[in-house]
Amino acid sequence: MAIDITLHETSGSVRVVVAGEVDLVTGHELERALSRAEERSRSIVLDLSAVEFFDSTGLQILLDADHRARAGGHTLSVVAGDGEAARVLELTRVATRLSSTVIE
Amino acid sequence: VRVLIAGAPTSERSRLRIALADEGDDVIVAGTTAGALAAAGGTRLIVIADAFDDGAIDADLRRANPGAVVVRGFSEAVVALAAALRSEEQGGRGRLSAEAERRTSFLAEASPLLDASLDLRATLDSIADVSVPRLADLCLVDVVDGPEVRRVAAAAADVQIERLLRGLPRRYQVDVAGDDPIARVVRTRLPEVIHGEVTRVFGGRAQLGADVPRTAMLLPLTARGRAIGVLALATLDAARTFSAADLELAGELAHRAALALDNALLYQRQSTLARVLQESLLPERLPDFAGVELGAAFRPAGDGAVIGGDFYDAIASGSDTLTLAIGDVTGKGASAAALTSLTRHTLRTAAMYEPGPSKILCALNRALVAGRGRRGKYCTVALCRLDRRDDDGFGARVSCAGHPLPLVLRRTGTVEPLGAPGTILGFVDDPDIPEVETTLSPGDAVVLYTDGITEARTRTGLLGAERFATMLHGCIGMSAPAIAARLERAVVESQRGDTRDDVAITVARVTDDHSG
Repeated sequence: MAIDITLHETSGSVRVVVAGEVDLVTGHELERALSRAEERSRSIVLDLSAVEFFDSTGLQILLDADHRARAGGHTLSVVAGDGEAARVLELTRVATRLSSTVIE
Repeated sequence: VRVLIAGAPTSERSRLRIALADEGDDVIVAGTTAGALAAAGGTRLIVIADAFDDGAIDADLRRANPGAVVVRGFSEAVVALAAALRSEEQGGRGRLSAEAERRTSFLAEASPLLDASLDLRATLDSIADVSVPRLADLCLVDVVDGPEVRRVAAAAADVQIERLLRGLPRRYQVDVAGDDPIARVVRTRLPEVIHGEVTRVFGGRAQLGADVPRTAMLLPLTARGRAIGVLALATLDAARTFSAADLELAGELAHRAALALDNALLYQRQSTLARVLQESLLPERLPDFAGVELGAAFRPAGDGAVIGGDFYDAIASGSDTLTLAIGDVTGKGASAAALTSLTRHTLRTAAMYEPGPSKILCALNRALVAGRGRRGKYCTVALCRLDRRDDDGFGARVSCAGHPLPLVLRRTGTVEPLGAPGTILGFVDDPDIPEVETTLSPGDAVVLYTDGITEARTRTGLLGAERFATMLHGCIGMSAPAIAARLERAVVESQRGDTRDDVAITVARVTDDHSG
């Protein structure tokens, strides 16, 4: 199982929907998608609810993106769902500390 | 035109043409399907599909030439060609020589063998094995390393001679600017057939007895624009001479061998470096600490060629306090190694002056946040600090920063998690890092581990915390080193050896016969 990322542009925001596995092999695809989204909009929704594997590679990418959002004054909202990404965000106590609210 | 090979990339096209030069007009090598589509009836068509869109091949090309064989890559094309030529000959209409078939099938056999392994020894043995006895009676592979020639493989059709060949010096000094045949071929990067100089490469009567080779081909092993060594092939048959066709075929083999050898050398260097670095990131030995037995296990991801981010440590402060640490830094490779090193040293220093695990982790968090670059330096850690009590037991204070909670295996077999989740380190200035305290009695064991265990991908999904707890329950009564070893083995076996993440485990068990 690999990764599947789609970008949906709506009025004023870009939604990045990720499905599959985020790991060392597929991580760069998520990074590319996020930087494309950041070029297009100042409001990004990152939907991780269909992610089936999420390890420290994915976490690094998410935390860096959140840091960029805080530093650059744009918003990054994370939809964690109730799968693997949510479990990792819960374990690492990241969910409550992201710059924007996490929509469960 | 009898066989037409279409779609070969430019680089392969010239090599195919050279390999097939003797066939004259019987085999045509073309770059595109244009010629293939126009091919006259009766022509056998082999299409190397890599350059084309699958759909186009299926729709147009198959309609134009339903008998076309579609293959991927050069090796498959050669195999298909050999099959086509063979069937032509069996049809009784063939004019293609048996020699041509011998050569194509030889290359077809050799290629997958040489590509099969990244292991240097296996690659070298393959090079020697495919050369003898098909191309020559004796084969040597020499690698030039500065002023030195290293003989890295030797093979002979005759077992006795092979033993003698292997007895030749494994390495010798060579004047790289001089007239040593090996040095010369490395310098000129041109193949040669040598006669009088054969004994300088293969040894003479003194080394090989009566079976002295008369003629040899020397082929440069060229990769990434430089010669890394020489493939030497010799015949013992006085009547045999190597033809231009032999030289071409051997050159093709040398080309493949050089790529395989270069890959294997690169890989060997990289994985050696990774292993040395990784070992420098783990404690050389666990400390001796009265009343507590320590055990640890570490298994790098995959074959260990990439440095992962897991580490563990055990730090004794005086005779009554022991701090156990396990962690996982984000990233892989050199950046992970640097971050691991920073993390371990900061933890060791903070463990000396900070009063408890939460404070130690906050100190590490400050160092990571301050050291942030374009990318963050993130790290998850579980710490367990053991303080000796008067009653043979230990107080255990546990803090976790974004890390799986440690487990305790009670003497009775009960397994329970220790601590409460805290914030990953390096992300925010003020992480929430709770500290939870429990008591360890003699026979109780605390187990720290990384998520390479709970996120191990088994046949039935992720291993998970519950199955890991069950594995730990099965360790009742075992010593700390035995628990660590058993858990590691169980986790690796559950993934059938295919570990995609590092696995690290640290176990501390309060000894039963505690006497100080």
